[in-house]
Amino acid sequence: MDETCRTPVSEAHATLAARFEAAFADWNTDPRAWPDNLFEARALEAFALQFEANQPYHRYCRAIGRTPDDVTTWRDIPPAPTAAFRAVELIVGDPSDAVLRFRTSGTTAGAAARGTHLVRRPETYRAALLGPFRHAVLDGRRRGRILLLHPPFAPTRESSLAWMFDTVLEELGAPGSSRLDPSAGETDGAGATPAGVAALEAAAAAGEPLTILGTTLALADWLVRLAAAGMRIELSRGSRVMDTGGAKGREGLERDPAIGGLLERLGLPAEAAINEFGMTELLSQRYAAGLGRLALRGPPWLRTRVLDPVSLEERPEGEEGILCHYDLANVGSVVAVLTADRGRAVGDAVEWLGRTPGATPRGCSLATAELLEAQR
Amino acid sequence: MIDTDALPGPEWLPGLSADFDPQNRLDGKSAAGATFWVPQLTDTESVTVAEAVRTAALAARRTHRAADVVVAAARAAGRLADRDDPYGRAALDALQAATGCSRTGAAELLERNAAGWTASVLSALIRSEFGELAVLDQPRPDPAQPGRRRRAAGPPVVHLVLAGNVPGVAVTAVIRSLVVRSGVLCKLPSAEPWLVGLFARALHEEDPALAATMAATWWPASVPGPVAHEWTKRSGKVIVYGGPDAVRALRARTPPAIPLVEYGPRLGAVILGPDTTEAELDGLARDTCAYDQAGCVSPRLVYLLGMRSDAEVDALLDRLGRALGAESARLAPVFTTDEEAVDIRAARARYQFDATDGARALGPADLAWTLLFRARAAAYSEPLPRVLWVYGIAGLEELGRLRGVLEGRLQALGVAGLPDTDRRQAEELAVELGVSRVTPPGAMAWPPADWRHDGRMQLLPLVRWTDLETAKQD
Repeated sequence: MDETCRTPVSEAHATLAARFEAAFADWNTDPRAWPDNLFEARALEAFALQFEANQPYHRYCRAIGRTPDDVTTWRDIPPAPTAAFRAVELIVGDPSDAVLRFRTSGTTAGAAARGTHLVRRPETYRAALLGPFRHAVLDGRRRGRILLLHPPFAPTRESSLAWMFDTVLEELGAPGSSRLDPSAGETDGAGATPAGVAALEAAAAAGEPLTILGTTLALADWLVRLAAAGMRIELSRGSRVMDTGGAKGREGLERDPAIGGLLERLGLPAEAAINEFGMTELLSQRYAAGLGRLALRGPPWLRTRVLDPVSLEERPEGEEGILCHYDLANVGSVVAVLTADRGRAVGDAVEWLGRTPGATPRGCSLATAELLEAQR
Repeated sequence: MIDTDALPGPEWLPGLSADFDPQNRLDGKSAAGATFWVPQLTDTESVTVAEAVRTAALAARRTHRAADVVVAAARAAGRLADRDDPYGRAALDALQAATGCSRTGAAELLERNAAGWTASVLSALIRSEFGELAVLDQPRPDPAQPGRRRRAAGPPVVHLVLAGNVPGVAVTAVIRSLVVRSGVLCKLPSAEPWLVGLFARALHEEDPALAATMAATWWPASVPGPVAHEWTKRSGKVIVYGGPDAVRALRARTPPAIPLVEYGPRLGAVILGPDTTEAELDGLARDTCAYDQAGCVSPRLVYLLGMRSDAEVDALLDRLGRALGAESARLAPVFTTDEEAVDIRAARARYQFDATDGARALGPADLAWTLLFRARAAAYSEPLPRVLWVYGIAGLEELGRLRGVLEGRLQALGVAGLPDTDRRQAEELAVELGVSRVTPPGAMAWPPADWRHDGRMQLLPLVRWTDLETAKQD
C-alpha cells in the first residue's frame, strides 16, 4: 500500500476510533448514555471501513459474497474465524502501521500456529478496557489497591493479557499496589515466606480492599505456596481475586478449587471471585463474579451470538453452540470474530463452556498430527 | 430419527447362561451421537465367553469344512445387505443412526461391502492366497517337497480390536478370521457398534454352531477392564484396526508372545494430469463422498500435475466442485460433527484470507463439500468429511520430494490424465512410497476383496502353518 492511500485509511480509522472511544468513555461515566441503536450503527461503520481497508478481510468477504451493500444489520457482518488470525495479519491499512502486536498463546493449535492481532490505536484498547474493569472488578471505584501476579508486558512476549494487566495496574492502581512476577521467585527475599505475602499483610493492616489479579494457573500455583507455608490472611471486605485464562490444558487444574481455595485462605466469600473472559483476538472483555457456572457480562459495545457450528444459524437462548463475538473495540482489525469456543446465551450474558476440541479422524483415516510428525 | 432402542444390543456373548443378568452396563456413544449400551462383564463372565468361543471354534473344525464356513458366513452377511430381510433393515437403521449417513449412503455402504462377502469372492480370496480351501481343513501335500504335507489354520481364538475402521469392514474382518478357522473375540467400534452383532444373529439363524465361535462386545478404550485383559491373553493373535493410540494401548497389555497384526490409519492421494476427463473428476467425487472419506483408501490429497493457468485451475476446481455437489446431493447431506464444522471453517478461512500460492477455497455454506487449493507441493491435510486438499505441482519430482512425509502413509493413489511416461513414473513412485493400490479415480473407495491391505495379504497374516514331514526314504 503506498503513501497516497495510507493517509486516508489512517484518517478514516482514527476518526472512527476516536468516536468509538468517546462513546466508550460516555458509557463509563454513565451506562445509560449508550442508546440501544448505537451498536448497530457503529458496527456497520466499522464493517464498511474494514471491508475497504483490511485487505485479507476484504478478500474473504469477496470470496463469500458479502459487501457493505448487502450487510444491513450487525448480525450480517461476516465473522473472521480465529484461524484467520493465525494465517494473516488482520489490520485496517498497512500492517506496518500497527503500534502493538499481540500473539495468541497457541494453547489449542500449538506454538507454531500462534495467531497475531495487530492494534493500530492502543487508546481504543485502553478505553474499552478500563471502564468495564472498574465496574466489574473495582465496584466502580476510580482506583484500588492491586496485587498483580503477572510479568510485565514485553514486546518479545507480545502478550495481550500482559499489556492489559500493565494498563490496569498503571491507570487504576492506588498507592500500595504492587506486582509479583511469578517467574521471579517463589519467596520474598531470602526467607521462606511465599512471595506476595507482604502485599497481603500491608493491605490487611491498612484496612484497604485488595484486588488480586492473575491467570488461573498463576493463582493456583500461588495457592499451593501459601498453603504449604500455612499462610492465612484476613483481607478487608471488598477485596477481590480476578482470574483469567482457565486451566490452559494443565491436567487436573479446575478453577473452583483453585480460586475457592485462595478465597478461603484470604477470608473472602465466593462472590469475591471475579472471572475475566478475554481473547487476544478481542480488545473488550467479559466478567462474572463467583464460582461454578458463570454468566459473563460485557460492555454494550461487545455482543456475542451463540451459533450452530454447521449452519451458523443463531441458537435459542440456553442452547449450546459456538461463540461469535462482535467487538467495536476491534475497529482497527475485524469487529466480528468466530471462535471455536462453546457456550450458551443466558439472558444478555454468555456462559463459556470450553474450547471445541479438534475433530477426531473417522474410520481409518490418518490424523493430521501423524502427518505433521512425519514432517519434523 | 432412527429408534436405536428397537435394535438388538451390539453385544453377542455365547457361553453365558440364558438367564444372564448383568450387574452393570457400559454406556457408549456412536460417531453421530447415537447411544448404546452393553453389559459390563466380570472376570468370570469374560473367561466363560472366551472359553466357550474357543471350545466352539475347535469343535467347528471337526464338524465344518472351510467351504462350509464360507457358505454360512456369506449367507448371513448377505442378509445384512438385503433390504427385504429384517437384518438388512436393521443394518440400514444401525448404520444411519451410528454414522449419521443418509439411507442412500447406508444402502450403498452395505451393498459395496457385501460384494466382498459372497461365497464365490471369499472362496476366490482363499484360493488366491492358499491355492485351495482344503488346506484350512486338513494337511495337504506340498507340491514343492514330496512327502511333506502342510496345513494352515488361524489360532483357535483371535482377539479382533476394531478401534478405527470404515463401517462394514468390521463384518469383513470377522468373516476373514472365521474362514481361517479361528474363533473371534471382537472388541466393537463405538463409531458403529451394531453391524457385527447383527451379523452374529444372522449367522446364528444360518448355522448356530458357527455363531458360537464368535463373541463381540464394547468397552471404552480408556477403561479396558477385565474383558479386554482376559480376551487378549486368551488369544493366539491380536488383530487391530486403529490409530497409534489404540495400537500402543494394545501393545502394552498384550503378552509379548502373542503376535499383533496391525492395520493402521493411512490416506489416499490423487494425481490429475492434463488429460483428466470429466468422468474421472466425477469418479473422484464419488470416492470422496463414499463413507465421507473415513477410509484409508479415501482420497484426501489431490495433486494437479503440470503448469496450469489460473483460468485452467479455476475451471478444473469448478468442475470438480460441481461433481462433489452432485454426489453430495445424491448421497444426501454430509453428517458433520460440531468439531468437524469448526475445523472445516478454520481450514477454509486460512485459504480465504491468505492468498499465498494462489490459494482459493470452494464449497457451499452448509459445508457439504470443500476444495482447498494452493499452487505448491505439500502434503498437509486434515481428516475432515468431503474435504479435498488440492496442490498444484509442476512435475512428479516435486511429489518425490515429499517422500519423507508420504512414505508408508499413502494407502491408495488415484491416477488420471497422465501421459504414459508420467504414468509409469507415478507408478514407480507409488511402489517407492509403499502405496498398496494405484487405480483410476472412481475405484479408490471400494477396493476388491483380494486387495493387499497395507501391502499385505488379507488371510495369510491371520494363520499359522504346520508342516507335517515323514522320514526320508533312502
